[in-house]
Amino acid sequence: MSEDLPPNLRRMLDDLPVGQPRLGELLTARRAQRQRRWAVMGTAAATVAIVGGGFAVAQVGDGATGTDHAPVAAESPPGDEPDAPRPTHPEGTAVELPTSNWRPGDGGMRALIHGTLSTDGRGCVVLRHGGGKTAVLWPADYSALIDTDGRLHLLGPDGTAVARDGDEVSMGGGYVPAGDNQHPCVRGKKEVAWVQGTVSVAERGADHALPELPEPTGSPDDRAYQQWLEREPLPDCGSQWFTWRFDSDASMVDFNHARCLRDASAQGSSGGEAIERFTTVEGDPITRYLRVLPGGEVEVFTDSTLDHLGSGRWHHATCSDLDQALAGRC
Amino acid sequence: MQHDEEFTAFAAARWGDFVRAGVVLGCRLEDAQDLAQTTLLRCHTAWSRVQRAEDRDAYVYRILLNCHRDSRRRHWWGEQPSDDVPEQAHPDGTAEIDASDAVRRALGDLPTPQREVVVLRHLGGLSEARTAEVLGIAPGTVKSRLSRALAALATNPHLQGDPR
Repeated sequence: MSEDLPPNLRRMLDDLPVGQPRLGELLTARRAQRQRRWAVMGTAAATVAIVGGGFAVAQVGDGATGTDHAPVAAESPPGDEPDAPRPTHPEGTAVELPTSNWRPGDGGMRALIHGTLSTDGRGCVVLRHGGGKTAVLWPADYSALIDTDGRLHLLGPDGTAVARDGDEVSMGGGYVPAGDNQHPCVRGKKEVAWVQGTVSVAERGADHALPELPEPTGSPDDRAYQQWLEREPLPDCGSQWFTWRFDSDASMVDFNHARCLRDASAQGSSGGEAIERFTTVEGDPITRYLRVLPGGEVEVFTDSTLDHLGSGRWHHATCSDLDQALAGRC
Repeated sequence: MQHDEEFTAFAAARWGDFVRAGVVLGCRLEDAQDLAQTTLLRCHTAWSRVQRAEDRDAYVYRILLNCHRDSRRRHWWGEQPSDDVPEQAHPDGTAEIDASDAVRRALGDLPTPQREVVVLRHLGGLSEARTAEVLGIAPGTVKSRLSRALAALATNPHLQGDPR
């Protein structure tokens, strides 16, 4: 310490109980992280979060120089089970992301943006941290989709998967008010995480396999089940799992199966059938068969036989309005 | 691993100065320790560049200042809740709080640009030219900021009296 500083200040600084760096945690966490990290395409920013030691750490390169952190190839430590493969080009229903004009190579803010990739009840892509969530303004040409298993996939500018819901992602950028951005996912927000760096996965989320469902069954005296067995076959409009609480009334996502049913309803000719599956709070699956009949009428069969806290039976309802059926209000 | 051994020695040698730098920049002691830890982790991720740097101290203090600026823009230090509390039980932290508060009081009126110059010149031991380079300002500005900072410290009532 320089002798030019006032002696009292030098003494105060010398007397500070500075403690010790937690190097053991630091090195262990870094090694473990290198082994876990999966390949992330991109060359600009990379941010690393280390949770175990109670610290999160940023290495944020700016898009302007783009040299801070090269992509890291996935490694599989000896003796560890390899992570389940993830689709590079997943398919599903497109989610409209709020994006900015920022592209890798542009200058930008360098604060750490970090959180768990998730969706809110409307289907907006958000970052969750602690008990809160933050709306996000993504770089130009980023996109997202929800696959038929209900999993969110964030896609980079080249259309390849960058991250999935449940992943802890980190990137450079800053927090700004939404201003005059009118995208419904950010409009009016006092604070939006404006991503100005390449998104990287700091901690991969767990792979939660959907339950294998047995063949639908029901009791012989269950009239709705018998009706379901005897129903007329209709063109397939696909299926969709909802693995999170989804508010269809405020939906930002026009799911493929719903669009197919709407088309069938508008055409009024051959009709269509789609399957929706939900999981109750207790984890029990409920299946709904949404059917647009050739005449335009809508009927819904609901299989609650696996819902242990529910009726344990089948239900049948007719509906004059498809949107009411999609909202579960038949 | 050679890499880790060298880094460990570097971290042990710089830790105290990094924490003191954080306090001079206006952090509470625990935030200054977080700043030091964050700086070390960034150094670890870029260790080959740290080693190759023409002036290693200039490089790592630039990282420290960037971490500090980032932390002020951010909402949180990025700490995550954990089931395992990393800190050890501590009987009484009064002395530690008093020590860092005394420094913060003593530097209370000093603007951040002057604090940064003090950190680089007097804690990091950087030359005037290197300090100017790290901060992206003219050497003359380094000189004037430092001069004003030292003048303010010389008349600060919290720093008067016998040092012992």
